[in-house]
Amino acid sequence: MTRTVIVGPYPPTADPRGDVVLALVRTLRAGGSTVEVVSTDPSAAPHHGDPTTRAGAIRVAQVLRGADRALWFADAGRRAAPAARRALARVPVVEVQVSVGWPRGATSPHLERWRAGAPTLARSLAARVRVAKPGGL
Amino acid sequence: MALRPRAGRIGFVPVRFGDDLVGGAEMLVREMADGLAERGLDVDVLTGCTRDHFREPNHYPTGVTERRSGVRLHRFPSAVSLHRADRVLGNRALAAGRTLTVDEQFRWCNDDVRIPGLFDYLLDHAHEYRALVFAPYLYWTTVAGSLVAPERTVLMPCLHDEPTARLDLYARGFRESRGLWFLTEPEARVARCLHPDLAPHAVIGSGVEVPAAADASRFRARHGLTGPFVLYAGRREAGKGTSRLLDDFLAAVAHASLPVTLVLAGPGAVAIPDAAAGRIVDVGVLDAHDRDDAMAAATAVIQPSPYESFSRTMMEAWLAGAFVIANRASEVSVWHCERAGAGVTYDGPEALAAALQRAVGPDARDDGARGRAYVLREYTWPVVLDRVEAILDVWFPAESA
Repeated sequence: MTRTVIVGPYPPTADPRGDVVLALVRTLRAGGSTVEVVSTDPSAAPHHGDPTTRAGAIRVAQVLRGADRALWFADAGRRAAPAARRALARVPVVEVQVSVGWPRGATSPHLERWRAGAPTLARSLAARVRVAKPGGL
Repeated sequence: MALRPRAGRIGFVPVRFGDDLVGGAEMLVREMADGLAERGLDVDVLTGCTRDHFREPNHYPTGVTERRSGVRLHRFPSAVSLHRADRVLGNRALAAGRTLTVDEQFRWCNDDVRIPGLFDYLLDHAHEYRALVFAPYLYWTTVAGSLVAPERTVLMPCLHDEPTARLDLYARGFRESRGLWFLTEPEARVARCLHPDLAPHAVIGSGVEVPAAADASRFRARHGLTGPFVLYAGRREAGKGTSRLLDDFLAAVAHASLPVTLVLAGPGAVAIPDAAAGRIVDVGVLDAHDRDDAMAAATAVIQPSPYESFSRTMMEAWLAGAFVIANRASEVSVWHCERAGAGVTYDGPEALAAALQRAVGPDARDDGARGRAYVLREYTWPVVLDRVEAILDVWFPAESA
């Protein structure tokens, strides 16, 4: 069975990418994968740690150990700390989704559009897990 | 194709659950879940291990147990952060009337007791439930859990107009749930005001147990009470209006020269001024038996809380035939008094003095009897569970056999 680790926002969160991650978790679970989420902040995920901080990266690295694939929902301009980079480099398949920061001043219609699109984006992500060069993280 | 009106499992999701927990929402969920199970419905309670939000996050053991009523109780490990800085700072800001950004609101919410295992369980099993009932609105379990299967979600918010009720983080649950159950019409009004796009909703009320018997003289003898007394039974904390009650009471009895004692019962610390010694008596926490005795013995029962979504205390007082005095700032209390044609409300020492004079007057017993009739008509568990079953059948029609 494939073990997937997702690093990113997870509900409950103001970040609309949390809905994408939740939809992705549902899709992957329905497909028979084991999925573990490490959310950047405390959430409904069993683990949390911000991969761009030293302590968070160590936590992320612990969960990534033995993963078959990893998906990291990253904020543009924020590099993963070395421990997380090394751990990601050891995962066979890594997908990185870079966002130019979610619109923190987003109005409800913005958030609604994100939420409406979340299941589609999640299906697309689940279908095409591509390999990213760890050096580019 | 016969209908199976009792088919389908119902899940209740409170943040904490236990026979030893005191609190309106906790008792409501426990009694409603047990009551439905005793009627033959398949009922689960899905909760964490916490007993106290701050001190005992994993008081109860994890696992599945079955209650005498037939309810299956699933407990998942509760998690709390060590520092709780976001929670504490958020609470301070809310208490000071400052607003929190949406980000801060979610951090504040996630810095309370979380139950990730419960969330995972819902992801895998929500589809096995006919309905999932979340209560109250305030806690992480409701905010997170209601996102999993909104089409099966019933939110029982136990809402009153308080600063947290206005936080954006709760809007989704009020808008996207299959439906909401309110305890009173004023509670529904607050929700409609805060959320114009409110999901379908119904006022179901809350049930209260009718005490089998009460012994007024036993309570008086145990605590050495001989004259008329007003009883406050509930948590002693600022939000419940207890400190203001002491001031209002002392001013009222001085104003009207009334020989009335105030008896305080319930958990929490209370600072009784030296000058009030003998006028205010603290009897501490009472078990259900003693509480019924106290209600029966009281000349009047007072509800000083400005924030109520139902007021179980008023119902228990009326069931004992007591005269009820309630804070006029609570729309719920006013609503009950108007509907019952019983009880009086007050908004300061003078009105409280007038209310106390009525409580020691000749009509107080008739007033209490009208209150009792109101509770028996509207809020016994059989009446409330009939409403619950009826609305479940409308919102979650039984599957064809």
